Amino acid sequence: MIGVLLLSHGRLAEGVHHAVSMIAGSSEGLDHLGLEPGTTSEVLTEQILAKVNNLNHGLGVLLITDIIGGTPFNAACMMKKTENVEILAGLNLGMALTASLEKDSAKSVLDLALAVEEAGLQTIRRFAL
Amino acid sequence: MENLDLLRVDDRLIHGQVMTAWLKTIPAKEIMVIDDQVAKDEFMRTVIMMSAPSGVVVSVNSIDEAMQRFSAGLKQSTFALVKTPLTIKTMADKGAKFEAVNIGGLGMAPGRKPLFKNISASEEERQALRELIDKGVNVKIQIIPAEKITDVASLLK
Repeated sequence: MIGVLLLSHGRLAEGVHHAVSMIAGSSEGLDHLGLEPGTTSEVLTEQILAKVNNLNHGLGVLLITDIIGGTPFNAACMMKKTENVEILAGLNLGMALTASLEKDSAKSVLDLALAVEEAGLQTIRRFAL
Repeated sequence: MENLDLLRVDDRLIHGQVMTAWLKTIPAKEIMVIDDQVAKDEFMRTVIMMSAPSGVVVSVNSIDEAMQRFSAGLKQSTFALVKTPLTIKTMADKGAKFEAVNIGGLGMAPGRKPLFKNISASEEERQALRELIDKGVNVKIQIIPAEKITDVASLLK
């Protein structure tokens, strides 16, 4: 099983995790972490590392962050130096749901990252009704 | 300095939609990241290059490289981004002339204390800002373009 960690400013990741559980039932292997005001990027990096170690059962962990260049994203990039992780930005419910549904069948964390990126691109659409 | 349209302190550097919002207000053609640590870290350089909004060139410069480019003159509208006011003080000490500094992001870190809302600064950073203000540099906090500008001089009294 590939692990999935949702990362955000504030409680966005927690909320998305909650919503995924509502839709998909269980969300084993999925976890979240939010940056709270006053938390340093060093502390956040340590918190992410602890979660990554918990979620990694040998196939790696997909980190889905909320915004490119934000502190959670920057801290996630640091993981790439030592851990078997893939990093995405632009977290939304469609991406988190896809990650949750496909993490057990994906062959590698890279395959999962590509599938979730594609899902993210597909979930944003204008409906010209 | 001609063509230096924004000199911004943001320890996250290129911060997603925040930078995109600034580019809508001031349509710069280049973002110059100036940081000695980042300039020699190939991994961070790659992260920053990949974080660039579309339609704008990103360069990562050491302080010395930036000084050379400033002396040669900037050819196009440019945003300069630094992680800490200490970088700006170093460049000012080396002779660079800046009219204004925008403080956009200085997160909580060991040694830093809150300055205004979620902007924090260490004593050394406060001293650097005081020196810049004494040199006549206009130092303001404005995280996003839509936000009210806060003058830093009065916060450092």
